[in-house]
Amino acid sequence: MSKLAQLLIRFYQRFISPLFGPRCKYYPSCSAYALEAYRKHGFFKGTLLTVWRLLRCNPWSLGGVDYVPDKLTTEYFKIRKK
Amino acid sequence: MGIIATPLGWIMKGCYFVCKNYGIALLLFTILTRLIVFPLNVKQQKSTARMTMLQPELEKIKKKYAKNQQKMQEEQMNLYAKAGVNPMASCLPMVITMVILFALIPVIYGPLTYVSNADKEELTDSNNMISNLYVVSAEVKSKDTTIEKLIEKFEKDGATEDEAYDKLEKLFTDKDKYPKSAKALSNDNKISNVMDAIKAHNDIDTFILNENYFSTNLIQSRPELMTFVFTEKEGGQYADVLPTSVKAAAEDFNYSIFGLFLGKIPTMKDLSCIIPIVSALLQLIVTFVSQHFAKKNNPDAANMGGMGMKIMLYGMPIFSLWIGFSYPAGLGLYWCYSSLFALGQTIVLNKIYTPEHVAELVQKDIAKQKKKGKPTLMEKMAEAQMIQAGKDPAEIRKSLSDDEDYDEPKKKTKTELKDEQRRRLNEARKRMAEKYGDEYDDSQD
Repeated sequence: MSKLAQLLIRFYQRFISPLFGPRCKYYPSCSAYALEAYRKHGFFKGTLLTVWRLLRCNPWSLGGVDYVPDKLTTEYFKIRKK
Repeated sequence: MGIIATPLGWIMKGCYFVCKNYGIALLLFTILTRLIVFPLNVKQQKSTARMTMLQPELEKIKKKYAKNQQKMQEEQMNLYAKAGVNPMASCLPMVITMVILFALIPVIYGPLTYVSNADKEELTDSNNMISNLYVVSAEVKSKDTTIEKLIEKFEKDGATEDEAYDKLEKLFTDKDKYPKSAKALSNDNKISNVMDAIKAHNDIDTFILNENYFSTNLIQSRPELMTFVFTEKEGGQYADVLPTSVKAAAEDFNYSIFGLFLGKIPTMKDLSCIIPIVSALLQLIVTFVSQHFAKKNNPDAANMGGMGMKIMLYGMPIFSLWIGFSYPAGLGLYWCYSSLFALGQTIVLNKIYTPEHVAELVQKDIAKQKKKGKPTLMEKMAEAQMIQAGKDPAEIRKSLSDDEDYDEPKKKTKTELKDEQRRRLNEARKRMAEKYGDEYDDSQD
């Protein structure tokens, strides 16, 4: 499953992403982040992290540098405002 | 997809209820969904326009980290976060657009399921009946005969009318003589539906095999789209084979625009090719116009993405052309509306947020900030993000103000060096793997 997800992301990166140009607010970009998340944490945690990242990559966020955490903590999934 | 398609179906249902025409309902639907995401676009436009003011800082970073691409991008992102602007459009809106597009496919394919009031069970029955009837008809034809001739033959052999139909049913479920029909009918326990249709119209097989009415590639995979043929062609005389609620819904349903049936997959052979072509043209114009404004507002950034811009300019229209020719005309029509709306939006937003206007806005912001005498929300958020990244905000602030000490990284201990080497090696391997499309596995060392 995780491999399949990675394959799909690689397909996206190679063929679909160039159509839209760079657009991610974060570094590494959402797709690179997702790839890393699946590699590091497998399918379920990888999906969770990816969804959370995609939700954070919205027009109200400021973006910035955000690597895949080595260990999942509830702290990471909190909305940070102040 | 069903989870997303169902609410979209509800919205479509509401739109259809208002204007009673699927083509116009689709326009209403586009405007509605676009209006929902409109604030996001305004926000984005402001952010992009403010970017021009950060240009000198960016140049500095580029010069400083010219050799270290990764560090350069990191610092760029940090700068954006600190200034509270980000030129990137962010991924979520794009993901949402794509999800809506693909979730719309089942809604377009199943107008009666999602939009009409037809009874769901009867609809399933009717869909199965149509596709089974097609399989049976096609197999009867492959034996160089028709259902009418078969019945005549049975009756000649002395069978009454009812007996003839019984024999016909046995024949169609005979795995040796009619393997395809037998297989199709065994999947569905409602053979009686098919038999009833045959009883009502002995010549229904010639009707269903008429290629001017039914498209062969849709009747088996998407029988629902073919429901309309029963009510529209041949004066609707075959419509009585449909279940009552399905018949009523199909008769009432206006699934076309300017006389073009929206369930049809466009082909080059007839006028339906207009939809994909128009959608590609509109897409080309949208991309061209938005790139034109991007260049005007921010020449440096535009020069950076030279090749990418070209791919975008021609890639998107080709993508929409492909979508247009492989899915029903309704989806292509949605794409046309969508592009049209995007075009209007781009022009209006760029007329409002001209660089001069943005400069004014920024002045106001600064004045406000001075009044308050405390950091803006933007700055606070930026700080929070830095804490999240595991950095001390005080240190960040210092390093951003005088970060001339980057040039030489501090001396490292042996283990740190080893770690770093391993990391670099891994990264190089990853790059190679990516380059050649191989699988890369972190655990291999």
